[in-house]
Amino acid sequence: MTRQLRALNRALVSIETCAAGVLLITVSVVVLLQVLMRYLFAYPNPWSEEVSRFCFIWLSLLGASLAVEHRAHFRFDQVTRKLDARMKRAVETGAKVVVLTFALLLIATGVALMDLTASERSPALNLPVALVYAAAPVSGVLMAVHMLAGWAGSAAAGDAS
Amino acid sequence: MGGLLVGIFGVLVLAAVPIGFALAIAAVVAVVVAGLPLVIIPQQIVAGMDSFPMLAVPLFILAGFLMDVGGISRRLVTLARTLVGHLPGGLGQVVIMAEMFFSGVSGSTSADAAAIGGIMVPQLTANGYSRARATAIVSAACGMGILIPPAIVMVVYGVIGNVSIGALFVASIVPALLIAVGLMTQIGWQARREGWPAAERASLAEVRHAALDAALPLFMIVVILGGIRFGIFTPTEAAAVAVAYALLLAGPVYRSLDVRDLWRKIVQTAMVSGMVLFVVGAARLLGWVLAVMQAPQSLASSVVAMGGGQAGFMVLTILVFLLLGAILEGVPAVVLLTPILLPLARELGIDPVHYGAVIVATQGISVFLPPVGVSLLVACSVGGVEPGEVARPLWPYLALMLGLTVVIALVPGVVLWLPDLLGY
Repeated sequence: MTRQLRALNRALVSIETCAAGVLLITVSVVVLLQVLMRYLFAYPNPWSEEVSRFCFIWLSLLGASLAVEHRAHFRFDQVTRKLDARMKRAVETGAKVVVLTFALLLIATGVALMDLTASERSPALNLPVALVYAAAPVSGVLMAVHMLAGWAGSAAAGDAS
Repeated sequence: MGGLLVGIFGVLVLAAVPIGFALAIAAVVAVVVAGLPLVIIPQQIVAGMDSFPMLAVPLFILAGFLMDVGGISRRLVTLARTLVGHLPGGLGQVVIMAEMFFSGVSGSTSADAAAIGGIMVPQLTANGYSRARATAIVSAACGMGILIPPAIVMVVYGVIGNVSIGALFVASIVPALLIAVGLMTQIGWQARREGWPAAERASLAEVRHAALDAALPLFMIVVILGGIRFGIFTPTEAAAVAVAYALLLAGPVYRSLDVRDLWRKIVQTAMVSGMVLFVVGAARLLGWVLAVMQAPQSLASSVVAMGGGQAGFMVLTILVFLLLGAILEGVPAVVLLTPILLPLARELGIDPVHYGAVIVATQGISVFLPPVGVSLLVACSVGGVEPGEVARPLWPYLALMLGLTVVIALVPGVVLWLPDLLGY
């Protein structure tokens, strides 16, 4: 079970990493294109701002879940660092439960929001708005899997020692 | 209710829950207590990220990373050495000067600390500076460098507070120069007293050679500031142009671009941008709920009732940002406090551009505040010392920076004359 979970996590991390990188490249190119088209072809691009904003939302939420995997989120750990081993473990577990709880909440409320906006379309591209909001539950799923896999990993390491 | 939310947030932050999640959970509690629909949660988080101006954040971060990959930091250090290496405390002066150049092409303080520290700490220690002293000088330099445009914190403040990002960029230049000159004077004075070595004066030919070598990277700041000022492009577009420019320099011009390294920087940028924007989204959610509950209004009236006028409010702002900036990091502190404090500042007649420059200057000190400042920890890991050791040599620099920040806060003209001159 643990092994499958960690294999699943590795697969998700590589997809997520690729997607985030491609999204960043896309927004860079689209914004640059917006400048170039305005000056070289005197053609203000009607879709570039919407495309870059939508990509940016996905980029931010995938970046946020990647930061969960890499434990990179801004945090203040100067207090927990000074606790003795048992207290520290307890507080860290509590903190993980908080992150996991929010991830699950993001999945549930995100799906509800997609449902609520199912018929709305974006003004420039005529894209379903729910596709943009889908970034929230997807990010929630990724965060939850990263948390659980990290947990399983540290528990396995703890058993082995 | 407000007390309950602050309590939840505070406990979660102290328990090392990531800041964004602590904010989000506090907001969820507020949503539940206020009986609002739960779909507000993802809706407001996404709304916080749905901003074209905010897109400048990842693009400036990426441009800075690319500048570092391209071996550009080394050229800038060489130029700084030929310019100020012969002054008393030569290498220390070089750090300050190099950081002025480097943060002009980079947008993130921690990235600066890693880049400048990585090059300069070994050189400083090889020339007789202790590791703690070397790290302290790098920290002070990077704390000053946050004021040099483009800076991520300024973009975030500008978007959240609806303040011109171009004006903020220009307004921070004079305060940055003031603090840089202050630090260089202080280092020169320490060097004379303690006999730190200085290099020989570089010949004019050497200066010219180094300047030509660094001209292309430094030209980027002209492109960014000029392009924004003359309405050629928006700050976000300027950031995309900066990315293309950095790529051009690192690739065809200097031929020092490695594709695998490039991809690593791209992924790293995506992650940093996720970290920043998640906090922005969560803060927007909390701010929205608080606004529904009319909490800011009651806070506003209580702060205004405290009196103290503009000066009192500025001092309060500096104290709050020193404390919260050290704990929360620069960007989260700005995200959290700008919507609360900026309306009060406006009400007291403080110019939002001036206010922004003061906040950014304070950030530069707070993120290096011992023992917990986040960028201090980065500098220490680069310098290979414990934060406790750096504190002693660092305090005098931070004290000077704080003193100058107070001057900047109380004399609006220092900040505002350049943007006024340029017609912002």
